[in-house]
Amino acid sequence: MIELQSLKKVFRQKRKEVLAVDNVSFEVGKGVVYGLIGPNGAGKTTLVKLLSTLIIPTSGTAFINGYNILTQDSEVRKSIGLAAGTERSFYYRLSGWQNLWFFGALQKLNSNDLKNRIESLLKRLDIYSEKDKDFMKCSTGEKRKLDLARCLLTDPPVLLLDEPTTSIDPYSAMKIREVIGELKDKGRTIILVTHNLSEAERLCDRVGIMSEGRLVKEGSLANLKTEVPTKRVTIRLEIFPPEEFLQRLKAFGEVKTKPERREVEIMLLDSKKLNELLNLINSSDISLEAIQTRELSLEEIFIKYTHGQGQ
Amino acid sequence: MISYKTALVLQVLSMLVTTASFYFLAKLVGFQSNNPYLAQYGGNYMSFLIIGVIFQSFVSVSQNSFSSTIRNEQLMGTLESLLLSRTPLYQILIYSTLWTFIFTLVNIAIILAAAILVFKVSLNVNYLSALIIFILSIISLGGIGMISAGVIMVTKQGDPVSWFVTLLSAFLSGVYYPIEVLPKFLKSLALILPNTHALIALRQTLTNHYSISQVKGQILILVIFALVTIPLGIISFKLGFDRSRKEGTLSYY
Repeated sequence: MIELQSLKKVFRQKRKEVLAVDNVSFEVGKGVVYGLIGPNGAGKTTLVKLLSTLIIPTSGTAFINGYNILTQDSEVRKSIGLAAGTERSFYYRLSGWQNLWFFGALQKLNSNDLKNRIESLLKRLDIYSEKDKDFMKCSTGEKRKLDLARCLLTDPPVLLLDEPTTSIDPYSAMKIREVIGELKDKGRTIILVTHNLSEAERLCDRVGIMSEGRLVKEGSLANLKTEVPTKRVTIRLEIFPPEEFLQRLKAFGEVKTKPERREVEIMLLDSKKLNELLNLINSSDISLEAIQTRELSLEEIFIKYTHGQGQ
Repeated sequence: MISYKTALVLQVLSMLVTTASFYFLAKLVGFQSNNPYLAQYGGNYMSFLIIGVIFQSFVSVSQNSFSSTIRNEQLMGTLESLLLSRTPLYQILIYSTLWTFIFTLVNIAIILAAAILVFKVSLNVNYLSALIIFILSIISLGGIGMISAGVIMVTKQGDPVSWFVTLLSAFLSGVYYPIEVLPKFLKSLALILPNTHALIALRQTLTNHYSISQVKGQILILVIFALVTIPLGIISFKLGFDRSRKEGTLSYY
């Protein structure tokens, strides 16, 4: 449904070149929600604009719904809905309803279909009662919902959602996530740009991590977690261990201590070495009271691959 | 909505005040002057000015409305959303321009009504030839407007094409004075502009009842201008649009 082939974008700014997207390739199948995560300036929004034909790539290309973004841009635009996540894309003096009506008319929807579509979308997003409010008076949450409603007017097969829940209240964010979940169930293909990693974990089938224009890692969440061999191991000991013992633990990975709770947290670089770690503890004079292991969260994986950029 | 109504009322008032100013200017020169420069246009300076200003307002709409529509959308941030719709951008531009044309027509109707009813300006109109000149003028100037729109896509602020042509039009095309008063080199420059020919023909058809055959020279010139400016406008707009997409500046203002 979406296929990127070595997509690259270089911007010229004041005699210097800025590499915004660097040879990015990936595929997203029908009905898949693909999360695009990365620090600010990683190139996510540029990538979305390239896919929506608003920016012409320097090299490479992409296919959306079988159409080439370079040579079939009008067909691509008919296949997508873009929620750009920016308030400056609506007419401020028009109401939410009037804005949706205007953009729907430009999409060549007939009046009856358009009326029904707007009504059902506004009701689904819980903003029907605010339909006549001037856009400029809408809250950020209402504006994001209108942005999502606009990109769903034609019910396109591919949706490009650029930070649809950023800077909005939890209730609005929850409502938008619900709708994205429903779209996924209906088989829509979605690229979801987000900074909210728990949102990505909840909604996305696959995730791409971008950093400095490159796609540094991509795959299903399960694969990403198994590919990162790191485990977080927390041990509670009978007594807080002496410095010499802590030094030996540091050979396994980064160590954090909580002396008051007699706990040591080890970022085990290689999960296969868990047995070695247990042997070390058992061979010491210090009794092990409890042990807890867990895989890294998407957030921790993200920080690992982006080297903490944007923190 | 109150701000739009206020703007409309102020615009109409400005038009009436402008028409009254022309009346007093014409009174200074003499309503039925023996001035040889005005003789070929019926000799009435009031009607000369009124036609000049009406034409200039259409010049302004034809040349500026494409670029000002683009500029407004850039400022509001809605240009990208419009581009993503199933309606091609050129159609959106034409619809927006139609609205501006209708608005301008209303303004002109008010000026003409005031000129004829209040200030007793008399016209001797050949409607068919006036309409042909009028349509050809809009088409050939619309081509220049499309060149402007292509430029504003890239420059965002400041449209040298529109500025230059509008300024030259007001200065050289005979809006406020016949081109015969200009020095020889400026008169030659004036004759390069489509506006000059359109205005000469429009005055003749509106005040002297000139037929199509009597203004066929100007019609031919306007057709040639249209054949040149429209393709140039389409190419320029496409180049500006693609350059903006290459630079990623569609949403910039």
